[in-house]
Amino acid sequence: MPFYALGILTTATATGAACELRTASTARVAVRECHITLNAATASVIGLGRPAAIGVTPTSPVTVLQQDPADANGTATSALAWGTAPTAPTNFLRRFSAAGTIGTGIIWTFGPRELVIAVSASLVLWNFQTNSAFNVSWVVEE
Amino acid sequence: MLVYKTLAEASTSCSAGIRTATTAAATCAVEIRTGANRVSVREIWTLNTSGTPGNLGLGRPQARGITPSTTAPFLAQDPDDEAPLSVLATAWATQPTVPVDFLRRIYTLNGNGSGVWWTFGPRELIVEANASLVLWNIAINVVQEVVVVLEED
Repeated sequence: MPFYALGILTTATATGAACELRTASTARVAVRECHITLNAATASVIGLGRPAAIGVTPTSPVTVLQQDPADANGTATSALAWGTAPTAPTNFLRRFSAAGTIGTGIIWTFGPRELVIAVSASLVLWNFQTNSAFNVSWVVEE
Repeated sequence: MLVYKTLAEASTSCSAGIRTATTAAATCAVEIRTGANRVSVREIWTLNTSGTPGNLGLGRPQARGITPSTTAPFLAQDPDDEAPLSVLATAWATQPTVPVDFLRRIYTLNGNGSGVWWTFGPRELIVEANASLVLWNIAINVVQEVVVVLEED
């Protein structure tokens, strides 16, 4: 399966969804990496999980980029704002506490087909508290 | 004795290191430029050389830099391989233009030697022939030490 990636800067810092990785109705994805690094000196607690309800009317979602230009365009998108935000996951797949230092972060890695998002579904990075904005890099296979 | 190369071995594993010069926001720090061969990027290291946090992105420029003036050639990691055609560049008559979106973004810690080591599987991240990939100063950065490892077809 081709690899796709996208690097983005979150904007929402209040408790709630910071970033959503959304699949199209045509292709599910396997998440291979998720990188997070803080851009402000604010201690942050971030979770990764499946929202109870996917976000509605995402604002300017950005499509993941091919890592090989010869591959077809990606279909998954990443969103930072919505008409109706994704709702909190019931439980989380990963949680991370970051010290209040710019550049603090984590790189989660996943094996082939280890972490899958079904079609028309999503994963969210969740601010458990008022957090720093952070850089996110997603790497996925579609 | 006959020696056969596997498909992976048929490409040239090569690497290059360079120190960036441009640190201003919204500028290109380093451009990975291919020649007539396409390449598979395997590793990118970038490390701060002084104690200031940085904000960097990796992406495909909208337009490749023109007339690079400071370059470092990629060196074959096996001296028996052909000389690679790719180079790293840190200065140009016309710098590359900003990627529309980034493949990776990173904030680096405030410390000498802080940075990131991105790794990629075989043929996971491709740069086509006569194209480029840039490490972009999203905000003001410090000078970086950058190392790139490639496989060149």
